[in-house]
Amino acid sequence: MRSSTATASRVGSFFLLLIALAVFGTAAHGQELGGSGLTPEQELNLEYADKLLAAGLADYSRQVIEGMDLPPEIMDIRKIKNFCALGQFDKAQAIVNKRGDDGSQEAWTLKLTMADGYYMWGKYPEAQKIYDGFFAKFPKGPKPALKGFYMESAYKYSQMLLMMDDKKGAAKAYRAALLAKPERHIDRQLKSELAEVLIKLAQEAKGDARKKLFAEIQTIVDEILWVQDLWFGRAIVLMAHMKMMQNDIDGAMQLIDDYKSNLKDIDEALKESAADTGEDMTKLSPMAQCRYMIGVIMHDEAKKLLKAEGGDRQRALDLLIGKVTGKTSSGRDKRSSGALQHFLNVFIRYPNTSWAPDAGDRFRQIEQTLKREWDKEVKARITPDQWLAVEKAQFREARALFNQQRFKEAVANYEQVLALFPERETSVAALGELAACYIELEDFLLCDVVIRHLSERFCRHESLMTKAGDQVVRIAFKFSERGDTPRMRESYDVFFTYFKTHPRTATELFRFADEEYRANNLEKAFGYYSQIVSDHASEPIYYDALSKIASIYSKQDKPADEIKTLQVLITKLKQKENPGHALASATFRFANGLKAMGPKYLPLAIAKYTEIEKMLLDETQRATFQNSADEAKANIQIVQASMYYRAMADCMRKTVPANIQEAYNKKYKRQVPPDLILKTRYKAGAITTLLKLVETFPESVYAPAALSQAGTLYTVLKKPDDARKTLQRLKKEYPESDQAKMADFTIGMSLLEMGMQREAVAYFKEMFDGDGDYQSSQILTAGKELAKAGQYDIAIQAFDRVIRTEKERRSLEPARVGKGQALCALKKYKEASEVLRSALADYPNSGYTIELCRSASEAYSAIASETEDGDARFDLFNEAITAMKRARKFAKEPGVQTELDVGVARIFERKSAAEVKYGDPTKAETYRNDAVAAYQTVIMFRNPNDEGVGPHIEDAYLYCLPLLLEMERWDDALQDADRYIKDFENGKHMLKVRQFQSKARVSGGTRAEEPEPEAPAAAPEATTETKEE
Amino acid sequence: MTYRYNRRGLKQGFGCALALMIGISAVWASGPHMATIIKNDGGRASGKVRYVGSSKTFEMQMQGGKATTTVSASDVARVVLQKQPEALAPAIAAVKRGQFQQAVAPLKKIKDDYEMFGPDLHAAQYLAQAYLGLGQSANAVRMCDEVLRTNKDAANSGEFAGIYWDALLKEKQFAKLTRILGDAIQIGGRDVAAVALVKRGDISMEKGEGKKALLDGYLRTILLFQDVKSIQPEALFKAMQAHKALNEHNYAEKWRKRLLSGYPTSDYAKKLK
Repeated sequence: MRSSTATASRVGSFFLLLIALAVFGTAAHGQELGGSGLTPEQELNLEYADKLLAAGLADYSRQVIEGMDLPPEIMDIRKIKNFCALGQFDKAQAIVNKRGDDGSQEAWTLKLTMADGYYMWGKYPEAQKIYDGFFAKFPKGPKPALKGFYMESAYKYSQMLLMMDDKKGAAKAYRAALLAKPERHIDRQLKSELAEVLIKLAQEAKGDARKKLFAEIQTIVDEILWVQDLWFGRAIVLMAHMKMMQNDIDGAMQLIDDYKSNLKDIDEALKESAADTGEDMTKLSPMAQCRYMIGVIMHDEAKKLLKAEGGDRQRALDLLIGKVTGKTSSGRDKRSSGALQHFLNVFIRYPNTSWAPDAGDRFRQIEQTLKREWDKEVKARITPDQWLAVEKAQFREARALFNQQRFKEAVANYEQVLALFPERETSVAALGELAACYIELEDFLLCDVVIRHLSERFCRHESLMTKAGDQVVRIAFKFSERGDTPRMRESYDVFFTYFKTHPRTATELFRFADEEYRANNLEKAFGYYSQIVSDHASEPIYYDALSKIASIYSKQDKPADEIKTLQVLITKLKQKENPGHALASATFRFANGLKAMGPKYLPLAIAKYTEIEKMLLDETQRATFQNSADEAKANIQIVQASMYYRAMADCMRKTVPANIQEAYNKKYKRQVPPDLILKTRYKAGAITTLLKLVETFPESVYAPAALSQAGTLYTVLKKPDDARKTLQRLKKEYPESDQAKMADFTIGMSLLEMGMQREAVAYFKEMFDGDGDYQSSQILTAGKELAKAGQYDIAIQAFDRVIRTEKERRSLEPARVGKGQALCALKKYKEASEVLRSALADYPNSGYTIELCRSASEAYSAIASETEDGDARFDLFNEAITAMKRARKFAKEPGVQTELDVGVARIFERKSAAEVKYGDPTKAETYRNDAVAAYQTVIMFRNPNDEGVGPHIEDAYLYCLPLLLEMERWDDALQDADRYIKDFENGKHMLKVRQFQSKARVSGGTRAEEPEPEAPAAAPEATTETKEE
Repeated sequence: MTYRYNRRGLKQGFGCALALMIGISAVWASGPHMATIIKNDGGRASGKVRYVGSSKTFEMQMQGGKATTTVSASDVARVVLQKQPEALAPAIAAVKRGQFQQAVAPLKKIKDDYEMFGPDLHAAQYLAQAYLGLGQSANAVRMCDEVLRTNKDAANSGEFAGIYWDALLKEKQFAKLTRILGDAIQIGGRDVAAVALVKRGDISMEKGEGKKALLDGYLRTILLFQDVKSIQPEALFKAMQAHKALNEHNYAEKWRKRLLSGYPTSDYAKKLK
């Protein structure tokens, strides 16, 4: 039941507001701030300390307070508050004790602060004891000096007791507050509230006790009725309530009738006040309250009668629709007002009051009761529009507060009204505004609660789902406006979780996905795109999402997944009425993906390229796959690319499909060699396709490449004239293209690969000697490629051309290095040493130093090996070793370091061999020992498990073992061979090493009794110790 | 006592979903009892009424006549019993006193004899409570499932649903419970949804997820189901405890005050005094 007791809470809040303004405003602050003369900075700090305390951070609050220079009496209050917040009542009590009890306001302030602390901790008896003690000190009211403080304490105490449901105590506290003889408006307010409490007590009391309470209420009401204001109206309500409690419904109604004009006047005054202040006071209408209260009591009484066995049904009917009091002029029954009329009146005339919604609800209940019990129809109806009017009126105040940015008050209003209209159209918007209030108040926890409620409760609501989803998105925007990206994303995540069928979901998901995709957050993007694919298959962006997923797979180098996704996309697009360019594009990507997956999938890729050509090559047919100029342009590019790639894929074929092979065999009645088919069918076919591409789309970006490839293919097919003609065409028609500039090189390389060296050289000569437009970088590239192919002589021509024409180190240095290396490869060590020595002098520190040193060392030691003169030989070998050591300094990779260490050992070996050939056998032995020592250092201290290092250690074994055998160090040789076999199970020199092992064993080597300790996995840095004499 | 059908369209969906989940059962019948059938179109008739589960119909023998009329249950708005089962009130009182064993047999009988007449649901609710009191949560779940199979409206009763969910929770059938609660929160009546939210909060608390319990349970009930007054004290009390556990004392204090001022006579408020 929603009686006046319940309504008091809402109206009561208004009274509390007045009290707060009139009483607390001066008293509460007066103690700490008003009279203390605190600086603004101190006030700010106190406010901060209060906020910390409210947030449960009492320790931090205490630190702020302790850092302030406050007057002792304020400091004491603050300390007590903090100690109480921490539950340290002993410490708080100590401050109270220290201050002493002289009955002054200061002393009581400390005590009552402590009482508040007890109350906060649920220590009600302790709190009550202090308050009761305080009021006992002033049984006849306070001294004038204590009036404000006393009244504030009494009121606070009354609220505390009401919260504890101690109505008697609360009444006592109100009476105590009245002893302070407050000003008239406060006096009337306190009395009115006291009467409310007494009514509640009377409801629970019986007999004399009730009579006594009624008498007190009547006295209070009589006093209030002297002045016609809001409290006057309230007094009428109280009197009517008493009548109702005495079962005198007629009397209650009579009372309303008697005071009708006064109540109307109050309503008018409230309206005027609303016009003056802008605050809608009509919601406090005592007339509405009276009518509602009487209606409720009549309704509840009627329900009781109908429920009871043998209940008085006529009386129930009278209560619901009124008694017959006579006849109207038309002869109908004339009735007094019943519950139905009261509720309708409140509902229609007072839509903004808190009683209106329940009045409407009860009106409908009575309608149903009348139909059910008496088969009576109610003529007056509450229309949906009227409901909407009430609903809107109810939300109006909350919305006004929201618009005025009074968010805290707006929250209270929204909560209250949402309890009345929780799930209607207006409620959804109100929920959004409530969330916005929480954001402004930075109460993100409660904001989150609202977001989740809006989402979960309305996501399956037939008519409100869309609006609710919009509100959640709006909240997310608000976070975004505030720059709070994490909360914005969280809000969207909730939206995506619940609103799968919301019209905005798919596009919003796509927006998020694209943002992540652009930021290269592929996993996140994938999640969003996948959501679209799984939940929004009917949306147009479904296809885009699939396409993006395929792109992500491509970026992640997952070709199989990419292909699968594209296959789904193609299937879905084919089911569409007008798939347009998307189908062509997807098929093209599908074909490319297949091609990238290797030779196995090449025939499939070719089939797909062919399919695209069928779709797009014919202009009329192409038009059906495009919906805009951009798509038309893109389709042309796709068909050009398809033709080019199909031709290239045909060239890449390594095998002939079985059916084709069979057809050829059948046709020529013999086993046709597959190579022949590959050439005549596929490579020749590719030429046709490429030339057709150039003919059909001469402006195509693929045209120069197509001609270049055709030229190469002609060469492959041993049609040099056609090749030359094609390349001339390329140079003539597309002179600026890269392919034209590299035409000679391309064909030269093709000829080289075919073993047609003589023909190739002719092309390269043309390239290197001619005054064509070749840039140094192109010639350098050609040189490097030729060197890689082992064509050192021609490569040297390329390097010489660069060295001749280029001044820039960027091209010059690699050309000199390349030339030196090529000369070494041709064993032209003398020339090589000159080139490399000068390059090393010119570029002491560069990216090529290691390569330079390695090649120079090779050249020096090779020359030294053939130098008869002892001193010159010695110097050259030393130069070779120095070059290696220089390279070693630059080398960072363990593998390269090891390789260089082995290189040094090799030089010692060559040094030894040279001494054998030209000089002193003793020296030869010494150098051989040096070589063995250098190899052993590598074998012992380098990590064989390192992929880069292992192969060089193997080399060290290979070179060292023959030396050991030569030195007849059989045991050492055997041990090394054993270790190699153990460390390199599948070693590249296994066969050789086993041979060395046998030889050592046969020659007298025995296995060591104790195995040698293995080289540590992470060996210490070890360099080859070399001796320079 | 009257028993209402088809309270809210969307509730049917929820009930159906639940019934489908549990499965469809065999033939059953209850009655006859002297009662008045009130049809959806307002028509009413009194007599000896029997419910036939297999055809989902009420069979009525009019007072003073011998002919039998059949009314489809879907056409029936309410069934008003002329007399309530006498054993119901004492059995409920026994459950309230904690004398669970004593209450089981009479409640079972009423549940079976008055299937679809109203008292069945009331009896089932207390029977489940008795089973829980006896530590027989499996029996409680089984019996509730049975009731839901025959009486879809049971899912719309906040009180019955509350006990059923308690039983599922005791049986640790978390997945099933979470699914049912999710449905109740999304499409159940507001009273059912509010109870479901608190129950979901309890599950989260049991898992040690205090924040989740607040966000997706207690706080939603407190803030956005204020019209469901019966659940407010429990939600406020539990929210207070959850906040305390998370060291969020300002919130705890806020709900404590609201509990004391709004529901001062509730059992939960008394716990604070």
